[in-house]
Amino acid sequence: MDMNSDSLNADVLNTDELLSIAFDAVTATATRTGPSEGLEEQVLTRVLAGEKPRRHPGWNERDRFEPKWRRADSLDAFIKTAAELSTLFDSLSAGDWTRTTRIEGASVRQIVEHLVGVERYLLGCLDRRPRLDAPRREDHWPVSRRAATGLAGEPDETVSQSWWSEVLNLIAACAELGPDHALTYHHLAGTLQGLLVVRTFELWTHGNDIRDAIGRPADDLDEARLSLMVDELMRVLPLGLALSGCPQPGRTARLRLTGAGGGSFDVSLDPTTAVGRPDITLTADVIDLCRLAANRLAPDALDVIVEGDRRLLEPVLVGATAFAAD
Amino acid sequence: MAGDPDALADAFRSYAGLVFGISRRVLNDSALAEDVTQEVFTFLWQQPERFNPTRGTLRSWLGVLAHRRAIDRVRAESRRAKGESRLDPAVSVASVASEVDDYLTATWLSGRVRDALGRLPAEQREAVMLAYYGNRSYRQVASELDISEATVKSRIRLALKKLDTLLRAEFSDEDEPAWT
Repeated sequence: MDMNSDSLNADVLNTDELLSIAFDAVTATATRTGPSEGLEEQVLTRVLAGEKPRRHPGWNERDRFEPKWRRADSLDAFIKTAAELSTLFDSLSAGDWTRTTRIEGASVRQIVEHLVGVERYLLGCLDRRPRLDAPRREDHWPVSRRAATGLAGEPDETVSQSWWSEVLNLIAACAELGPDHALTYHHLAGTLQGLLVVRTFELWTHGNDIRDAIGRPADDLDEARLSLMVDELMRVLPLGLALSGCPQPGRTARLRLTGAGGGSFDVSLDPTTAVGRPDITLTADVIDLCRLAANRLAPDALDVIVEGDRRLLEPVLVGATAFAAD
Repeated sequence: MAGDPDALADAFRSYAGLVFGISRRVLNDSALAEDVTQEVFTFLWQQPERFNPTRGTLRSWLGVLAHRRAIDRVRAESRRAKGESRLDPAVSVASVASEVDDYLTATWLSGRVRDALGRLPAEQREAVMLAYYGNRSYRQVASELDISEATVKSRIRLALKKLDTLLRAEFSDEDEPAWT
C-alpha cells in the first residue's frame, strides 16, 4: 500500500480493481431502478427446479458473443491446442510428473517448466514482461531455466497453473496487438499470426512428448490445424535450407503430403530464387513430415517416395528440421 | 456454491443489482436485463467451477458475465433486425477454452478502464485510485489526501459519473477489439 499521489498510475490497479471501478461507475450513475421485487423468487425457483432460463424470442446459443479476433485461424488453433494441453496436465497422476521424456532426459515436470519459460520469453518479446526475462532475443533457454528455478519446490499443480496463466497472458497480448504485429521468433521475422502457428506446433509436439512418456497414444491434430502448420512450414522451408547451409539456387521441390491437412506444394530450395518446375517430388504422410520438422522423426526413418533428382532429398529434409527448437 | 441453494440465494442478494445494472446499461431495457440476470445466475448454479477465485472476485466475474451476455443479446438483436444470419459459424473454441473467454473479456474491459482513468482530472483520479487500490475506506482516503471525507465522496462520485460517460462505448457494443 505504498501508493501516494506522486506514484498514481493506473498500472498499479489489477484487473479486478479496474473492473470494480467500471461496474460501480455504470451501476451508480446509469441505473436508478434495480430488478423487480419478484425476480429473486422467480429466478431461484426456476433455477432450483432445473428450468432453463427464459429466452428472448429467436435467441439461441449460436448467437453467443465471440470477439472478432476469434476469426483468426492461428489464434483459434493456439487456444484450442493450449486448452487440450491443459486438460492433459490436469489428468496427470503424481507419478506421471516424474516420468522421463524423450527430450534430453527431461522429466514431464521439466517440460512444463520449459513451457512456462517460453511463454514468458514471448511475453518479453511483446513487451509484456521485463526484458530481463528475455536476456537474448533468440535464446529462450535462459528464461526456461529461470522459470524452473522460480518454481522449484512448488507442487506440480502450481507449475501447470503457472503455465496456463502465462498462456492466458499471451492470448490477451495477441488479441490486443493483432495478427499483423511484427516480431522475430526462431530467427524468423514474421507476425503474431505466424508465431501462433509455430507455437501451436510446439505445444502439440510437447504434448506428444508427454503422452509418449506416460504411455498414452500420440494425439493427431485436426485437419484445420495441420493445414495451418504445413502452410507455415512450406513458407519457411527455403529459409530453412539457407540457414542449414545447403541452399539449392534455382531448384524446386514438389512435396505431396498425404492425409488430412496435406496437399501438394511447390517450394523453391533457395530463399532468393523463385519457384520453377519441380526437380524432385517427395510424397510423404503429412503427420510424419510434421514430426520430422519437430525433430521427433529421424530423416532416415521417414517413409518417403522420391521421384526426380535424389540428390536434393537430403537438403530438403535438413531444411525442414532447421527450425525445430525443444 | 455447488448444490447449495442458500449460497445461490446469498449470491443473488449480493450481486443481482450489479448484474441487472450492467445488463440494463447495455440493453437499455429492464425486461431484457432481467432475462440476462436470470441467465447469469442460472449459469452460476449450473457451472460454479467456471469461477476461479484465484483470478478475481465473484463480483467481477459475475459483472463480466453480465456484460458478455448482454452484449450477446444486443448483437443477436442487431443481426435479426438486419435480417442477417450468422456469418461465421466456424469452429468455436468456447467449448474447450471457455476460461479464455472470461479472461479476454475481463482483460479487454479493464484495459479500457485504465485508459479512461487517464482521462480523469488528476484530483478525481487520485481519489478513485486510492479508494480502489487495496479497497480503502473513504476515511482512509481522506486521511491520506488530507482532505475531508465529504470531499472524497464528492470527487469519487464525479469521477464515476465521468467514467460512466467515458466507458459508454464499452457498455453499448460500439468498440472493436484489435484482432479482426
